[in-house]
Amino acid sequence: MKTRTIFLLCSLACITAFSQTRPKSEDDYYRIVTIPIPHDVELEVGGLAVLPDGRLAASTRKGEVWMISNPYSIGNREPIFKRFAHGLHEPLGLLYRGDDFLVTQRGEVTRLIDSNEDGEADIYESFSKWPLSGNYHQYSYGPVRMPNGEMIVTLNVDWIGRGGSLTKWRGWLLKLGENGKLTPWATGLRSPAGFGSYQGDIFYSENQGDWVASGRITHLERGDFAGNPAGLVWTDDPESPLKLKPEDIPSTGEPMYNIARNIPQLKLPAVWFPHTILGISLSDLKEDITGGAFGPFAGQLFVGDQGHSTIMRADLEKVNGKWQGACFQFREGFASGVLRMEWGLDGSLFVGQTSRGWSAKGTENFALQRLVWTGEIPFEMKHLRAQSDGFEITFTLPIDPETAKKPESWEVNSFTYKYHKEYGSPAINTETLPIRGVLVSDDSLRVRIVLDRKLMKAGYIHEVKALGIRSVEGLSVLHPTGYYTLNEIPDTEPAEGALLTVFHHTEHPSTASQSGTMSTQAESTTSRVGAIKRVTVQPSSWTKGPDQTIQIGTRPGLRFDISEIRVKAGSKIQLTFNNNDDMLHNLIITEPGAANQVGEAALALGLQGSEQQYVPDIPEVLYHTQLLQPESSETIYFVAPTRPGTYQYVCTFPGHHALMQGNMVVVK
Amino acid sequence: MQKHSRANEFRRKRVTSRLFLGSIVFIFLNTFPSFGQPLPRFYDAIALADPASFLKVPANWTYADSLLIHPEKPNSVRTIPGKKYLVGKPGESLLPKFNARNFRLFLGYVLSPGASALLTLPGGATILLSEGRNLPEHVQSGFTGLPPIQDAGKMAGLLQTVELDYESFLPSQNGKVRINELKINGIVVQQGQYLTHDNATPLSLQVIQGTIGVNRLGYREFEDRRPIRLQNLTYKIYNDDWDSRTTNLLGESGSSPELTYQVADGKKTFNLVYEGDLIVEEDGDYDFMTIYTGAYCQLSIDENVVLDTDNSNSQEVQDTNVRLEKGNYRVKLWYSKLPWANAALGLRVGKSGIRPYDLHAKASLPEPPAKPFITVSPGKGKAEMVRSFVQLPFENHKRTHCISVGSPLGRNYTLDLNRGALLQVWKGRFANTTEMWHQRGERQLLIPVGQNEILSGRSSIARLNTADAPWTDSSAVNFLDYRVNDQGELTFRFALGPSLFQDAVSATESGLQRTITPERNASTANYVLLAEGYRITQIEKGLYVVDGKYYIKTKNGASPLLRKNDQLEELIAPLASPLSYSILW
Repeated sequence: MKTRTIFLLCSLACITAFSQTRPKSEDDYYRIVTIPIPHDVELEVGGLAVLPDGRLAASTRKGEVWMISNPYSIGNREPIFKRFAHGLHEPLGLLYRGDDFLVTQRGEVTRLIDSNEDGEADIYESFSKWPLSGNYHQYSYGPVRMPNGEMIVTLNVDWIGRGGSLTKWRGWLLKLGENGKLTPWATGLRSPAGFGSYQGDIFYSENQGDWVASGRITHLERGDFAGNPAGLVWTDDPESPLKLKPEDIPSTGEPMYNIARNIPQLKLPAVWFPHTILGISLSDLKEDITGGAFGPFAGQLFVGDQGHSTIMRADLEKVNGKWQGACFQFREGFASGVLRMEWGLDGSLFVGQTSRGWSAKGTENFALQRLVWTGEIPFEMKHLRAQSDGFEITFTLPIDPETAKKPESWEVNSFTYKYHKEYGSPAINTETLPIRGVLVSDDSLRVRIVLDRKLMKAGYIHEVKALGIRSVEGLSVLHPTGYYTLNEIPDTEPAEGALLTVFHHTEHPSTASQSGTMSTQAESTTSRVGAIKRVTVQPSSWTKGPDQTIQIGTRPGLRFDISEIRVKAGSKIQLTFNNNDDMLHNLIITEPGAANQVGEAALALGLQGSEQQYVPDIPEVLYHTQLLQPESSETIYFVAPTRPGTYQYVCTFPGHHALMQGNMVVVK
Repeated sequence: MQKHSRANEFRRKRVTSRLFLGSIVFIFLNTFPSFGQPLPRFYDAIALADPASFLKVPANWTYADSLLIHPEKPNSVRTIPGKKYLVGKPGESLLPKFNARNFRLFLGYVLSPGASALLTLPGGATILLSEGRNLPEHVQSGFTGLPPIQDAGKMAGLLQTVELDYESFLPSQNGKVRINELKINGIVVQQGQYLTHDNATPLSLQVIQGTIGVNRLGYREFEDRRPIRLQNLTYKIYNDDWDSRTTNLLGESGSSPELTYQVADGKKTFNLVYEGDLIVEEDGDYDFMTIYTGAYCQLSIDENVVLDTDNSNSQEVQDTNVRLEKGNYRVKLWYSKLPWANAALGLRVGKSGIRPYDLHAKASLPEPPAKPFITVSPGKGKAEMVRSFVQLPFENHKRTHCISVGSPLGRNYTLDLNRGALLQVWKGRFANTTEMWHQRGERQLLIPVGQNEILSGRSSIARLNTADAPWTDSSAVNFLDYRVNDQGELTFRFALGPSLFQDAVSATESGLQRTITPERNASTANYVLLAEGYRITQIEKGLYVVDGKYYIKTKNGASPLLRKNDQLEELIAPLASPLSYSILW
């Protein structure tokens, strides 16, 4: 017994010593707990509701509502699943009202009542209903209850090659009365899967798509138009709070901020989440109302992402009366696509997940997990707030001031997006902003980064990197990059020159590309990676035409429709890539075995990636198409390699390369 | 030679003032539509009325104009003299003159309650036809030595069909015959079954018990000839809009050795027109089939449009039949690609005596990606329900607020909640939800698994100011809720103007029972539409057969009214008090 005790104490000591020196990961601060699901239950979570008696209710995309006992994994940790309702048409929400549930299915808000208290719903009441077109993309969400008691629902647009609103109120957020009456509130929505209250105000999350450059969250007030014009076809209705028409919205490619000056109803997003850097399909958003039980971010907003299987964080402030703020990475590694989040009774966060129909980094088809704070405070940028001449960062732990005073610890870039009817937008007008100096607070918790006032650009997103900052204990910032959406510039006191640690302008290594817009429709054969890699016109020397014509298209689930093509070494190839999917894709031909490497290099391009069509400038890239809009195609011409082997082709749009690959077998 | 291949549509027209009062006992002499039922395409008829069609017509086989069969009374089969049916009783076999070895066979028939008959095929395979509820597998219709995939047989007195694709001569597999596919009432019950070959067996039909009435018999032989081919194909690609049905903006043109959409590959949309020579080496009635995914496809022979069809989303087959004499013809095929779907274009031709073969290049009709078969089946004691979109075959829009309920008894239905309309009833395992739950489920359609009867798509309840006012479809019907009992069965509640109704549907061994009960503000002006069809015939008081497809049986002494609008007959009943009726099939 004694020897064992000593051994235990020693190993504990070793562990403690070890943990002080190894780098920290997200898992040290927030644990993901998986709730096991019985093998015959397909829990593709569409909605979640936390019940006061300790149970969790989940609605699923295959139409069921499940009651889950012991979701907090107490005792022997076994959860009990009991089916409460079924037969609904793809419910994507759930609201518990004590005596009943309200659940939004495709064409109806249904009230579920267990009148004989046998654990199963026996009354399915049509609480509110609306017409449908039959288009699968008309997803309907909610209901969500706001702190003032009101209920809201949102309606996704159709997919008709672009966003459409074929039946009433698609693309709108509506108030749902206690009598089932729907009142239109705001429009311009495209894929409003996540929405709810932030400090009593209505916020919703949006996904990249037509008219939407990147994921973002937007504050919605009555009569707001959030950007996608599909829903504007219904503004003739006497109950519509705005009268804008689709033809009133210009598609010029200027930043949204510029267009909003002329269209007062156009509501700028509060926070942009740069596409592929912070998410690709934003989902639920939840204000941290746990009062500290979930860690040091009380009062901030957590935003889930389906495609990246992550949860991100947004820190918001009001500047000139308008909500805006910054977003950061928070927790990755969820098992499937994050769709729904709900606070548990103990301040943990239930995360309901599904990925059927779209690929997600988490490879499970569905999952139910719980995110729990370990009690340890991560070293993070807690707040990133705007000043008239830069930004002020508040850290969660005191920093080592010397690291803040080194110019190479920081980097600030700015960029914006185009506002146009095309699908998504590359980052444009990227610029590195020289930092004049910093000001560290006496308690070492806050740092002001001071820029030239003239460089603070309204309507631009500012990327603030704190790569070199260390905490007093020597920790790196867990997530050292934040993106601040600067719609309004506050009129604050400029930094006191005397206290400033001034940076002298040196050669900053710039990760931003050259300034200037980059057209995504460039037909020219010159690309950043060299003219010979993408030829879109048949070379005049091919007098007899190509030796071989190949067509490659796409299949749902991030695939090419052909997994292998065979070409003769040295032959002239005409290859047409048809993007018949509803997201962006490219096609790159690579050296044998290099598809994954090229995919990862594309990811590493960061902000520049979209401008570069996600084609990295490395020799493993042989030929490529540009990034193609949904339902468009491109034909390239090239000569097959002379050396036989199994070459590859891959789509390097972030998140795609692992699945979307094929082989190009070159034979003699 | 112009033919359009679109399914029949129920057309709604105003009700005429003529009214047939069902309370006057009439027993139609013809229980079934008296117009001769033609064989479907792909079969050549064996003339039943001509004794020369048979090696032998034994005494236990007689001719009739029609049969009167009561679905529940085995011994009450009455025949009316005539030549439309060949009626068989137990005894000797009927032997048609028949020399084919590899063929497709079609049989149309009715059975009396509890009847069974054996169809023996050249080469020795046998198919059992039988009537009954809850029959064990080896006694179900379609038993061939292997049990049928499901029991697709219908009730006594209803029209049934057998379709068989069979080869009794397999050169590469001596000593074997093969049932390629056997369908009973349109449902596949056998596929790919090998049996041992018996040289001496002729085609025969023998009644084992009860009565069978055969009203259609046809077949088609197969040989490996290709009497039609395409030659000198040239194509033009037009840049007109995909839904324009015009060819004004000529893009590229050229010639092609093969018929394939690939000459236009790479374009998001295109109107592709092929022209060329159709070389016909022998006279015949040719079946032309276009198989495509596209906005529309039109086939013309010598300037005559012979097939012209619209939107097709997953390589649906459209067909037409054209009589051609030996010679050369000009052929034109015009195809438009949908912007959101991959191109697929195929042209297939068939004729009596040969199996259909492709005239297109194989790569022009790519293999569609494999899909899983996702189904919902009810549990042991409880019904299962699914809300979904449903699309009826004769409609080109989806009904978006539908609920389908499947019972452990294998009797299932779909109700359109927006209209309060019973859409379809079927017998089988319940529902195929692959189109809803595979990947994104782009169609979101629930497909019945099993032998399906499509009912009227119109509201089941309506307010009529007079008994002969036209039926108002879904005018003031508002769906309120449904309640689920311990067996998982539903009682719906609808409002019709100020009136409130309960609508309870439950399964029985032979069909569905429906009880509609006024809950509030009952009115004699409210009616229920029990059935709608080309011909509704009364068998006895309270028992009707609709187009030979299903029975309606009323209860509680309810007196339905049989009336006619321009196109169809309607069976309606007043709803001042609870009304209960069954649908049996």
